[in-house]
Amino acid sequence: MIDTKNLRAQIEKIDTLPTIPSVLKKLLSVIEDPKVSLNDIGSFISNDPVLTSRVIKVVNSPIYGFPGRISSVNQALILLGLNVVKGMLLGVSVFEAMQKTMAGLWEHSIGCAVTARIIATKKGIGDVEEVSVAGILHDIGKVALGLKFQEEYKALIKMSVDKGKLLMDSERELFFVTHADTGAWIGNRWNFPKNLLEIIEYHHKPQLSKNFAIQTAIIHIADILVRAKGFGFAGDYLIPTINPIAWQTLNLKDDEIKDILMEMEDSLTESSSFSLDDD
Amino acid sequence: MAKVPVTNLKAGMKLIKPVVNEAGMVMLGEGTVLTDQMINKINNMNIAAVFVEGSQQRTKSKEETIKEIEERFSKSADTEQMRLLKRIMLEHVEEIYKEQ
Repeated sequence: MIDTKNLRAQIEKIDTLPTIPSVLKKLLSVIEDPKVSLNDIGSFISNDPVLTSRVIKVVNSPIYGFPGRISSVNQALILLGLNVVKGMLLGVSVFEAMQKTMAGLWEHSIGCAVTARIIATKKGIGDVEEVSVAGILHDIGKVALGLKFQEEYKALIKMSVDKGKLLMDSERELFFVTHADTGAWIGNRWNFPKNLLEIIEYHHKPQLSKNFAIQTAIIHIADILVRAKGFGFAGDYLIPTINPIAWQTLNLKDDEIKDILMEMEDSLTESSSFSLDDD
Repeated sequence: MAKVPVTNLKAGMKLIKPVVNEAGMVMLGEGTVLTDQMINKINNMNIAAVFVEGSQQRTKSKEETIKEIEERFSKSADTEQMRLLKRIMLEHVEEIYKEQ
């Protein structure tokens, strides 16, 4: 058993783990600085060819609205803005470290980003770019737990699958907190914007989101739709229960849900060709 | 109509939508039958997928897909919204397999 205070301290120190890629360590030192400018981020990315090719690949994927149209890092920064590029960079670097512990979490996260974008666009609510970033990073707490407790977390995932339980419930039994809590801790430590912190913390309890209820509801529902479609792997093969308040907030009609599922069908086939591997 | 990731393109596939470059210029017109050379070119273009003639290739049968959905929903809570979503999912599967 691990007490919560101790656990939090360990999670917050995650960037000192030897298994964390060096590029992520460098990246964190850049983005933790609240005064960082577009230029700083631009030169940071451009100095690393692997990172540059990843950024170009991700910004041209269906996660964002410019498929196949962005050819330089500067263009990406101008079109998408600092927060989006910061979130995306964190996504590609953090999830790389997670591939071994939980293959499929990256696809689940991309799926959420794409679906959140589709919902926000369809309903004309929430900031489209902000919810895409939140889609990529909403499960970052799973990455944190998986990196810190690699063997235990792997066993926890296996047990959840074998017993037909939600990973979230298994997490609570072992750690007394869930990935939503650990995600908020690490997001706080890494100076994530407020909306992102609230979405990460409440994506399974959207009724508690006070300041960003719409964005949180979008991620809550996107997560459920991606699991219902069976895209990616979030640690179990179940579907969390739809929160009635989030459902009401989005007020999705039957036909709208069908349209969203159909758009997901198209976009996610496209995303499946997009992986973290550099080719 | 099928949307095929550029990495899965094969010579002989016929485009049903033009392939456009970053500047918006048409590189390969609608109706083009792809050759290996063209496929190489497309793969160097920062495009994720193109539209070709034929039906969407699916790795699973409709029956398998329905069975998986049933399983995924079998342990979910029996609430009004979950019943609604399950019904819509099953209708959605009927629709995507009907397109073939």
